[in-house]
This record gives sequence, C-alpha cells and structure tokens, in this order.
Amino acid sequence: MNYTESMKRIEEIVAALETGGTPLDETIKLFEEGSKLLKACQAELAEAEGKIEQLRLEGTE
Amino acid sequence: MVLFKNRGLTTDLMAGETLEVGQFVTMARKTLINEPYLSNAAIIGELTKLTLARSGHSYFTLTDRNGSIDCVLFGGNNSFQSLGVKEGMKIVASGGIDVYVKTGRMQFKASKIQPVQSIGELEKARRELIQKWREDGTMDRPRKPAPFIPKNLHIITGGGSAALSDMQRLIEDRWPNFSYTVIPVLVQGSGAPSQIIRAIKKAENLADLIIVGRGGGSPEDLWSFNLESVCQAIIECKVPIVSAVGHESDFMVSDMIADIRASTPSNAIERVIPIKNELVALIAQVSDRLDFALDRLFLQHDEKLSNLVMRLSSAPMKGISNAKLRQNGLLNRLNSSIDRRVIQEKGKLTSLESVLSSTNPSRVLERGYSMAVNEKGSPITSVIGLKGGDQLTVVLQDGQVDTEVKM
Repeated sequence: MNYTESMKRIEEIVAALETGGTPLDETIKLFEEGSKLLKACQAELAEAEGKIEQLRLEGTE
Repeated sequence: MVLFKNRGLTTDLMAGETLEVGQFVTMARKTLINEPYLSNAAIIGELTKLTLARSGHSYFTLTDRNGSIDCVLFGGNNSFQSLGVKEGMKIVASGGIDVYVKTGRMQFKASKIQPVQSIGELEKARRELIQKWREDGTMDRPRKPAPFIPKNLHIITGGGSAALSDMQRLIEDRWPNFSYTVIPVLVQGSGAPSQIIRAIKKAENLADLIIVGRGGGSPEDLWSFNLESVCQAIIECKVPIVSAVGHESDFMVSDMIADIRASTPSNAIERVIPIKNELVALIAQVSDRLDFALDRLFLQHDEKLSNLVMRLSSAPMKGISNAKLRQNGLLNRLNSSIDRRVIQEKGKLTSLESVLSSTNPSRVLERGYSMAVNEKGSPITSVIGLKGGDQLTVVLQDGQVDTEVKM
C-alpha cells in the first residue's frame, strides 16, 4: 500500500471508529491497523522531509 | 612701325612708302587677324540689321551706344532661326575680326551666336520650367535623405569664394578634421552651367552627399541655378544633393528640385554635418541609459528568480507540514475514538455491576431481614405448604440457624 492509499485507509478507519457500532474485538483490530499505518506514514513523511533538507543544502552550496 | 616689323610681314617696306590699295588692305587684314584679342573674341550688342541670304549665310550688324560692326555667320541661318533671334535682341557673337579685301570693309566673322536674355525673359523661362516640373511630377518625386554622417562629402562651389571659406570654417567648428572634397567651379557667367553639371556628374560617382551652391549675388549671377540643364543634373544625381544658393531670400529652381534645400551655403553645412561634441555626448548618454536599462532588467530577473527559489524551497516543506497536520489530526481522532470506546465499555460494565449488586440477596439481609430456606436451600416465599415440624434454615446477615415450624 503506498502513502496515499495508506492515508485513505486511515481516514476510513478513523471514520468507522468515530461512528462507532463495531464490535469491540473488531474495533481493537481497526485501531491496531490504523495505528500501524499511521506510524508507517509518519516515517515516510519524515524521510521525505529529510530528503528535502538535504536537497536544499546541496542547492545553497 | 614696330608692330609690322615684329610680325615680319613687310620688312622691306619703309614708312611713308606708296603701296597698292590691295597690298595695303591685305597687310591690314593680316595684321588684324593675327592679333589674338581681335581674332578670338566674343562681342555683345543689339542686333540692328539681319539678312538671311539664300546661300545660307547670315549677315547682320551689332550695335551698342558707342559702336557698330557688320558681322557674318557662314551657314548661320539655321542658328538664327532655331534660337529665334530677331532684330532688336541683344546677342553675343563669338568669332574674330576679318577684312574683306575687295571692299576694304572690316567685319566680324562669327562662328557662333547666342541670344542674351533679359531678366524678364529669364524669369519667364524659369516660371515655365517650374510649371513643367510641377505638372510632370518632378517636384513631388521622393527625395533622398542625407546620410547621418557623410563619409564622402563633395562640395561644388566657387574655388576660393567667400561661400567656400564660410563652409570650411563651419565644418571645422562642427567637426574638427572632418574629411571632404571640394570641386571648384565657375558659379557665374556663361561657363558656369557646364562646369557645374560636369562637377555633379563627376562627384555622384564618388560622394555619398553633394552640396552644390554659391554665395549671394545679383539675379544674373545666380541664374545658373535656375537653368534646366543644371537642375536636370541635380534631379538625375544618384546621391543625395543639397542646393545651397545665395542668401535666405534667394529661391532658385535648384532649391525646389534638390533632395535638400539649404537657405545658404552655411545652412547646408549646419544641415548635413552634425556637431561632433554633441554627438559624442549623445552617444555617452544613450550608452548610460542602455546600461541602466540592462541593470534594471537583470535586477528584475534576479528578484523573480530568488522569489521562485524561495517558493520552491518552502513549497515542499509546506506540503510536509500539511501532511503532518493531517497525520496528527488522524492520530488524535484515532486515539480519542478508541479512548471513547474504552470509556463507553467501562460505563456499560459499571452499570451492569450496579444492577447485579442491587439484586444480591445478601444486601437485604444487611438491613435486618432474614431468609428462610428449606433443606434443599430453596427460599420459602409463602406459608402455604408449610406444616408443623418442618425443618427450615433461617439465613441471617452473618450466619444461619436451623429452626422448626410450629403450627
């Protein structure tokens, strides 16, 4: 799943959790999936940020 | 007579000697026709008598206030007719003296005659010329512009004239060491037109600009510049040509048909030779303005570029921070939704618990009630069915006692 797809999935999960109505064990599973995906997306974003910093440093040399 | 002796004609004759008439007249003739001033002359006078003989020869008399002479122009009838020369007109006859030995009559043997026009006649010819060139479009033809700085200026004017030295002085003032060529010509008199025309024809193959002109003078003096032949040469001139004749008030046909009309010779110089210092200053000024404009252009582009660089470097970070915001939002929502769910579940458990605890029978016992149960442990809820001697157990808060029913 790429970043965009992951983010979309997280949105869906959050929306489902906010609406409520899912059984508890299902809720826990959704929460776990959402958390994992979010962590992965944060990592990817941090990496992108680092890369931009790097490029900017090279540009000013 | 010294004159005779020098000519070597009659060295054996002595003064006072008696001569035959024919001999005398022949001697006189020889003497006269060998005199350069008399044998090659042009005389001007009024034509007082004209006979066009059948032979084709023309016999006429020229007269002025002080003298008169018979003239002959052999085969001259055509000339008189084509030039329209009639008695009473002023003419110039070119030729030399001669003596008709048979009659002893002195006469002028002309080789050419030329009518001398009066100013009135000249003026009429001038008006007709202007009219002709107005009608055939010559006046309205496109004019050649002068070069910005002439590289090979030719000045056609009187050699050593005041007009020339005025022009030369002015050129030196305006552009020191400016290079140009002077073609000296006669600018008045009968030889002037042909010299001016020849000079124009010569200069037009060498020059990139020609000034033709002269200083002020009488209308007759300036008249060359009203002649069709001279003006035609100006019209046909291959390079731009300036007419600069006389003073401000003199207006020649050449002024009307030249590419550029200057009111005076000096004015011609002012029109075609720039002032070098002004030009140098102008170039410096233009150069400064060019530099300034270029600087400004570069500055504008620099600003644009650095603006773009700024936006470029901040744009991805803006995207990153937006993404971060979105992620944080999602994280908050994820956490709070799960927290809420936990709290919700906890609440459910608590209420179940309280319901459960409220139904616990031991809680009733705490308040001083007791419960009777049979031997099977089932609660006794009614007196119906009980009989004396039944064994019951009474359950109290802190223990139980066995009892017996009395009836």
